[in-house]
Amino acid sequence: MSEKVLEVKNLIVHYETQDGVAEAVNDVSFSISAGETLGLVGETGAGKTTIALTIMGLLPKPAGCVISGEVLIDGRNITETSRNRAKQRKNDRMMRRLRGNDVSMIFQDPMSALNPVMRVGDQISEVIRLHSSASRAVATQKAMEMMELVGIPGVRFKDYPHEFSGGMKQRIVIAMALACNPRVLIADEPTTALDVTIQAQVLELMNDLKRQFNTSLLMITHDLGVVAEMCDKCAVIYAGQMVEHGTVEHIFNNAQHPYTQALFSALPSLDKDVDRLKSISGLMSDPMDLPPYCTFYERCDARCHRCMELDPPLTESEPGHFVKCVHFMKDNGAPSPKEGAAAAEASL
Amino acid sequence: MAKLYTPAMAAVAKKRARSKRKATSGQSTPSREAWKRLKRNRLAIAGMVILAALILVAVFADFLAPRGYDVQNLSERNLPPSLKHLMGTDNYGRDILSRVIYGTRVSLPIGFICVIIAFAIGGTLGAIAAFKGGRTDNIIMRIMDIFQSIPPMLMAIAIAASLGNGALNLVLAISISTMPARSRIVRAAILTVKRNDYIESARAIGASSRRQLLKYMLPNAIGPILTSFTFSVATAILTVSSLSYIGLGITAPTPEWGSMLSAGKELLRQAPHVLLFPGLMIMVTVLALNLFGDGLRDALDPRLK
Repeated sequence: MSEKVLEVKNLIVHYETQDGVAEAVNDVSFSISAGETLGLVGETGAGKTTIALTIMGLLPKPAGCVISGEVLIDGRNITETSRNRAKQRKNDRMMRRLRGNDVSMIFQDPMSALNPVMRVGDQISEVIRLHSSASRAVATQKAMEMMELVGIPGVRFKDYPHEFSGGMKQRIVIAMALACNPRVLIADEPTTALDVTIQAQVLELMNDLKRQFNTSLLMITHDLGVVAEMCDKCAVIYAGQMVEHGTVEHIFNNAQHPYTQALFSALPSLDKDVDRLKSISGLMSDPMDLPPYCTFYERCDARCHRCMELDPPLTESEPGHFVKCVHFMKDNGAPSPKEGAAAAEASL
Repeated sequence: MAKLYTPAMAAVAKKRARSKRKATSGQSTPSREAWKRLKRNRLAIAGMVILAALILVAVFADFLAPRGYDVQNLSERNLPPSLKHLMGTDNYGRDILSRVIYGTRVSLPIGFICVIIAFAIGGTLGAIAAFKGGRTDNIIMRIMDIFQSIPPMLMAIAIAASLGNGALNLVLAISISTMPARSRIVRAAILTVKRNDYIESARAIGASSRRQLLKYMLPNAIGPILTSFTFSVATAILTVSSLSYIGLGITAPTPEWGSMLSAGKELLRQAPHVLLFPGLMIMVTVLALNLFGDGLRDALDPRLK
């Protein structure tokens, strides 16, 4: 379990647009071991998809650029770029071999992720043929097996994407993603576009296949229920930064960062009857203009004077549980967030 | 796994497989859907039939023509249409029907070849420009702009005049002068499909640029390209005739409709049929191509259903 398949180290990604620089990902680090599932949680625009695209090497060029940091897949750094053209071409070729073979991705919307003019079977076997020297017949055979594996009869090999329902298309996308038995699978909100009954099926399928192939999974979602069901570890992303990181038990039973706590209080509860759910007031800070202090300050219930003075580092609050909050910094003299919230309420 | 693959699904699959074995035509492929829509459009089918007939006429011209296209008979000059000469004769006593029939062998192939060349060169450049974007796009499209700053007809006249008469030079003139417009069409078509998710997922499975372009973008962009292809052939045939009419294209005695018109214009009062029939042929051909192109556009564009 200790073998790290995917490692992201101090990743900083910016989008350089005409209106300015958007700091999409700011100093994010995490790692996934073989067979492990990490959930990336965060609201829209927090930088989750950017992280995924960086790992795939698919950042939109020329706007998106990796400012610093490394992404290691099986120890190979894939963010290296070179001014030397020949070298860069070699990098590109390596990256192309990696994609689909070692890392693959499941996209958010299965409706548009398949080429409408290609038979689904051909799309699956294409992945196989791109990454191995398999003959057409062997690849076809393998593709059919993959289709059966995701619960679609092999006889539908010759059908076109428009003849499938959304859930079935997502299964085909999963079959495509797993066809080459990748080390890392990135699922970018794989169930967002599906209706609830299909969601459970698809998640279960992904879990089964992940176990079967011992694939590491990076699960990007804004659905905490999905995280609880699928993940071993969980990272909460806010404004391109990791604000809390730990095992699922840490996050779900002992959420420490005010943002994570707010996320949970925004969920309906089964055992309590609540009329109104709590929302997090305000908007996420503009990535073009991030404050030099804690990015969650404006919306935080537990803010105090210390919060505006510095940008707190990610601190280990208990073994394996990291929080990026002033209140958890070692010997900072600030009250814990609960006390802070109480103090804030008292002052009102 | 077994849970997902229910017996009901298996039954449906079996049924499907059986019905498929019975009739493979039951399957709906994108091209088959388009064909179905095209079949419903009567005008388009009419255009297609006329076009097919013209192509057959061109292929079997030797059997269909009552006489050779250059057989002269000076005692039968400028005869009006009769049973012996269905379309009459011209000022050299040549049978106009035969000349019109042989004319299909000139106009149709030249029209198609011009458009194929224009699309091969212009389309490739346009596709590369759209795919690469940025500086490459700018450089290619600015060069095309320079070409396009001269009206295509004038450009064709200039090229044809400087190269001299002959079918090959005519093809060159028309291909080069229409190339920039074709590159724009292909570029626009590729640009509209380029942003689709399946292109991203093609990149995500490690497909090379060439593969993305040829297997993912081009087949999805083929609708507007195919449509403009048919319209372009119509325009090219008109251009061939126009250039021949002003004496820059095909020269006598090769029976080109445009040059036949040109020869007939002096006899307009005495023998209007000399001019009428080649003119009609040009009109019918262009009309057929346009009708077919219109139908094709409707059939290939799902939004116009």
